[in-house]
Amino acid sequence: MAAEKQVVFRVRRYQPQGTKGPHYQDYRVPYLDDMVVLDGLNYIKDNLDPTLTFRWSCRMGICGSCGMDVNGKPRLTCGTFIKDASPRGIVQVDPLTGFNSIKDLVTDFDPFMEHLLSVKPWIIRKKEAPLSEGEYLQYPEDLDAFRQQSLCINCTLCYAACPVFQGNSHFVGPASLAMALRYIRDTRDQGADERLERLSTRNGIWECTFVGECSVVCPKEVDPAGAIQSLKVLATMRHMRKLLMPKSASR
Amino acid sequence: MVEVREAVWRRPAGWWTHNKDYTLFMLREVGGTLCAVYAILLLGLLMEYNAGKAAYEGYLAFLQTPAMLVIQGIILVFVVVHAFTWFLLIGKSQAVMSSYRAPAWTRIFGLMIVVFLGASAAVLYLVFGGL
Amino acid sequence: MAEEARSEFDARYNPGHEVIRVQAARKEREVVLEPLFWGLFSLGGFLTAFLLPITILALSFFVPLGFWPADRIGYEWLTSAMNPAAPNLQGLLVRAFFLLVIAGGLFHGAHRFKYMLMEAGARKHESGLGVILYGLAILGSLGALYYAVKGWIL
Repeated sequence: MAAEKQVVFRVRRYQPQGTKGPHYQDYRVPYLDDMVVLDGLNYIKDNLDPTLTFRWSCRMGICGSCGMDVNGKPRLTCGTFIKDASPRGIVQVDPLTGFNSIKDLVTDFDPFMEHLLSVKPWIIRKKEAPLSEGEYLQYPEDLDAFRQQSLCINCTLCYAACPVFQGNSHFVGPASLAMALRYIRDTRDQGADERLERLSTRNGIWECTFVGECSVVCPKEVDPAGAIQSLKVLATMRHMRKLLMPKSASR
Repeated sequence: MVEVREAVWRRPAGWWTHNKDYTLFMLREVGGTLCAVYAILLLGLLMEYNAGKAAYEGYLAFLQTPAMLVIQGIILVFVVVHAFTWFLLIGKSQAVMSSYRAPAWTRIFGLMIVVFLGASAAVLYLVFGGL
Repeated sequence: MAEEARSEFDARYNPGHEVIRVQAARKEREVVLEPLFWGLFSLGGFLTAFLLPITILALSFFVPLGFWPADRIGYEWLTSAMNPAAPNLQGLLVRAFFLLVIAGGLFHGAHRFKYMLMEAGARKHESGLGVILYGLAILGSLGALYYAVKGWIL
């Protein structure tokens, strides 16, 4: 029988109804080269410890559910191979940093949901065109303007990577701000002024110090750091326009 | 009554030591602050120049003392690290202002290096009268 | 007892169709001066990244390293470099150079230092810190402006 490759999964456990605080538990997991960390966690749950709790769904990098800290780095566990994630034979799995954890690897990302909703991630029209006028036309160049930011899968890896959010959960955060830019740049949207007014606040874009780590960890290359820089430029220009020409229309 | 508690997250004080990118960011912050320190030294230069030749040359001699040279060396290292990490960052997270496909970060970095060398040459010849 | 416990858990983690409270309800004050100082910080960073390294090398290290004799950056050099009557507007460009590097460096450093102090725990004192640090940067820049135009306009 061929020798099975084995690795140790060091998983952070936490039971909410108990007196013990968060602690680590080690599991021996056999693996093949094509297995990902999520496969390892499912192996543990199926064979070793059914009480281990974690989120996952599509296992192909599109739902954004399986984000966790693997060896200290925020990763999608469905896209991280065990063979790449086990220096010294140990894979350490923690819940995403920056969020409280409800149980084991499951985080409470209500703060993220509130921040996302606060940027109004939908098309805002001052006046809806009547149906008889047909659909809003958009050219390929119009789509290119916001396409990159529209690829966000809300996995919150960027929030885990952002040291500003880690220190202050009132910061609106990378993914939400990228979504704000996605709608501001959409030619069908007319809510740029409304959003910029709300974002140009202490806990909005100005809390960001351009560390840039959010864009490094993003699995969809949304580039939230660049999006926030664009928002800062837009907000500054809008501010100057308001100061110098207060009567001119928005945008 | 079942008590339900969340394990609360707190950012540790040494957060910036855990990750190479965070450490570089902190160095960039320090470098940014040291820019202001050198700006003050330059302001001092102009002040002493206006006070006359003796004052100016005394100030230049002060800048050349070993302690000041060490300080200025530290400032130089930080300012260069600051500039180069910023060039890298512009490439990796680009402030895209209009709609187009962003070029690769290596190209932006290369472009920044060229502009940096060009600007340095311009300053050398325009302000300091060349080599 | 169990139903009560379960419903509290459910209310907390399974809200169902209950709408999540939107932070939008709590409106934050829009900042007034921050975009301005960010703009100056950004510009200052841009300028200092390109112009500072060579300046430090030329003023402080070329002499001890033996590239230049000491009088190469002496009083006469600076006088002729800043001469407003020099051809090709060179004197004015040199004066502008000093103004931009000093003002840019001051605003860049003030902004960064403010954020460093806030990250280290002084968040509550943000406006006080801003007044002191940006105030110093403004004073320094006015000083640089004064020396830039002295001998030309003044």
